[in-house]
Amino acid sequence: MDALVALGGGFAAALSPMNLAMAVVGALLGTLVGVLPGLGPTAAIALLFPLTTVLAPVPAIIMLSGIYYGAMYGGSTTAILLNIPGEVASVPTCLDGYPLAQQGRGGVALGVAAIGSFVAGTLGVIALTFFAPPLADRALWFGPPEYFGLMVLAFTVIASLSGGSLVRGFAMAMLGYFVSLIGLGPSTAEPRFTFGWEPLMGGVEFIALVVGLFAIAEVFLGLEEARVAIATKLRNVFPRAADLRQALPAILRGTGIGFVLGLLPGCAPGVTVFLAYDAEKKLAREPERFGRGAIEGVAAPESANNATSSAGFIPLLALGIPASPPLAVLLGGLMVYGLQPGPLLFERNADFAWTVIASFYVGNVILLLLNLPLIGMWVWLTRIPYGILGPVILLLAFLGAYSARNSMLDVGVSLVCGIAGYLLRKYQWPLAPLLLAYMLGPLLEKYLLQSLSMSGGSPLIFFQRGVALALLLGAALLLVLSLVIVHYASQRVRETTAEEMAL
Amino acid sequence: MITRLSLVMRMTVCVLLAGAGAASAQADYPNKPVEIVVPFTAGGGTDLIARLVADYLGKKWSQPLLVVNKPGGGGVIGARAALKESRPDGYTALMDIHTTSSMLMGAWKTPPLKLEDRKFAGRIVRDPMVFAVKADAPWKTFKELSDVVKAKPEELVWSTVGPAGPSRYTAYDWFTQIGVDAVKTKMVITEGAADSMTKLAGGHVMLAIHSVAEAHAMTKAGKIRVLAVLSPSRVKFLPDVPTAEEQGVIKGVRVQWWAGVSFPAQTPDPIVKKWESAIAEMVKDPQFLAAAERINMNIDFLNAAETRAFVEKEVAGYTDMATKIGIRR
Repeated sequence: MDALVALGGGFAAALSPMNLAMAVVGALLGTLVGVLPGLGPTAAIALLFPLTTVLAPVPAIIMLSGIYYGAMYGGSTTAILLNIPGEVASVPTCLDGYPLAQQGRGGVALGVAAIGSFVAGTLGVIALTFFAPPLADRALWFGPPEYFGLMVLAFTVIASLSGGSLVRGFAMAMLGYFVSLIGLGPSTAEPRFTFGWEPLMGGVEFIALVVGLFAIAEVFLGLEEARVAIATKLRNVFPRAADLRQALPAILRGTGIGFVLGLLPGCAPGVTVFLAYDAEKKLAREPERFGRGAIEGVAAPESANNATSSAGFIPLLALGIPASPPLAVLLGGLMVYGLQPGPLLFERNADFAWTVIASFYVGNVILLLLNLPLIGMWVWLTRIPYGILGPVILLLAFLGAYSARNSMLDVGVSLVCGIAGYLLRKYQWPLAPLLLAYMLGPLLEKYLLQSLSMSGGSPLIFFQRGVALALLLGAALLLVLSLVIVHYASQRVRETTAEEMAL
Repeated sequence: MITRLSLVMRMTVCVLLAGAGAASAQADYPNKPVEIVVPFTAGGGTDLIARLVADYLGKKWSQPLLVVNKPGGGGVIGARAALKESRPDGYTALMDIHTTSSMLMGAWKTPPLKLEDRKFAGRIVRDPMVFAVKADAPWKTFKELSDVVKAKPEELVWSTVGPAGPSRYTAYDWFTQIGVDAVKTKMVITEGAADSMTKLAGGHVMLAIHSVAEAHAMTKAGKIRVLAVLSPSRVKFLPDVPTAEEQGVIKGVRVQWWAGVSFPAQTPDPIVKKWESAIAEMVKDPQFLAAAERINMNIDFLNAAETRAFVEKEVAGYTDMATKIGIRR
């Protein structure tokens, strides 16, 4: 009941004109950028994140969540209309969405995707309301050894963020951790890897890093591939009653699969969408319809995608574990505002946490209201020639990197990261583990140091405390589990796209 | 479509120009939200006073003052972000305390932040330190705890807000006076008083040393107990808690908690002056004083020049102390 009262307070804040406006602006901008060919959700969030930094924390996070939801939806739009999945989670959507678009029913597919996302998002947020507080209640149990266990658990996410190769994933994580080492150490403030150069003491700026790795690198890749726009026809946007009847069970099943698996820290949407798609295909009376424009083939993975994302907010807010690359960027956003997600978030920043949760409900409604009428415009946007789009994205990225702390150093850093990101992407080195380790590495280090100072240097402390031990065992279990799921999912990705894609 | 994209671009440019234009317009300062950086986690003393000030001056100036927590590195990371890595236009202020100024300079031969890197607007709070343990801890008095630590120093796990924070100076003073080798005890570096108090209440550390105001919330919630206050006489907020000297454990008071506001060194003087006079007015306002009293915060104002002199004197004291206890590096 307390949760409902607190949520009521959250709604009061989320529905204030300013916050509502930020949710609308976020959802619009997120979809706008997400719909541009070649800019996936992660790149979209990275690119737009600097815009939110001029706001106070609450409207900023609300706008960021709006951007996140919008960008996810924008990714589905390019998948359906152009057969370009902005990220791996949209691959199954392409399978039936693009055939539907070719049959002139792209509008219907987009409509079903929007409705499916809405249902899944709303159910997901309702569950979030009731799951997060019990976890948060256990906050005081969590001392440094427990947090250390939690961080190790979070690092197992690397397995599912690595795409095909675990070795590459861990190599990238080490690189990310190394980048985070630059600057003043988290517990003793000792300068590290600054080579006595003052500007480096502030460390590598988060915004410069993500803008470079994701947005700028994306432009380089796009220019190289000489991406071209594809003309599409669009007749009817609103699904017929028969379409909806056909889609609804798939939406609910997709939501269920997406949400339950999404609760596992480290289960990315890229994994659940394939499971949801395959489940639909197995349950269907005529499985041969799939791949030729089955409406369930769009509804199920889209719902699973959004449900996993909503469920992902639970480990994100309550434990500080991001389940997918866009959530990893979002976690960075929260940390920039000094909000450390974790069991204590609901104790120390309860108003904030509930406002954000309420804004997720609001964001879902806004997205549905925006998207159904605006589908025509999104379609139109997908036709911008890349020659115009690329330089504009580049400009926005550099502006964003500069504005973070008005520093030219950051512009240089973002350019270097852009080039590095381009090369790494080109040769299939996954970037998400780098980002994860950049953000969580310093925390892992801090909790390890704190634990070891508590025990006088003995690592036995991690095995003598129940919760810490359970978390470490959980991490081992999860690692094995996600290796199995990832193996299955990446096999499916290979079969579907005949190329490697980072999950 | 190009117009739509350029709209996004224009928005970004506008945002940037808003930042640049502000520096020239000092007369109507503040004409946009001001950020107050707290270099520790939310809920500690620095954060509490920053929020009181933000609330009061925000209403007075009809501009939101935003408290931003940037913890890490014993306060150095946030303090540097405010004083060295932000635009010196008066729209970024630092809630400056001993840990990020005098104590830092005492502990470092080449500190990552110097006194010259800032302009003080004034000191707002001065607060004694207290020794706190978990509510159900076996020790009833500070004397009792001191005897236990003297006998078995290796069993003491205590938390500090940073390698050069007030907890560390206070603890080393205590260890020296009761004849305990500080190296034998187990010190855990946390990200601020709120973090440290949470670890105390959860039983992850045995002792935490913070200011009166910082111990207030957890004491009121019945999670921790204050054993002693480090002050020449008992304090009005904790009339039943004996001083450390009263219990015959620590002679004299060498460490105290304070908080003030400072700006990057190149910030225009009129803006810092405006803050100084606004703070001077604020500390006389009964409403502000009542709000401070509710969180046991002892308001004790010094103007900009007095604050600088006060901090310079402290630097000398802590340099001497850090050298003697062997933590100056």
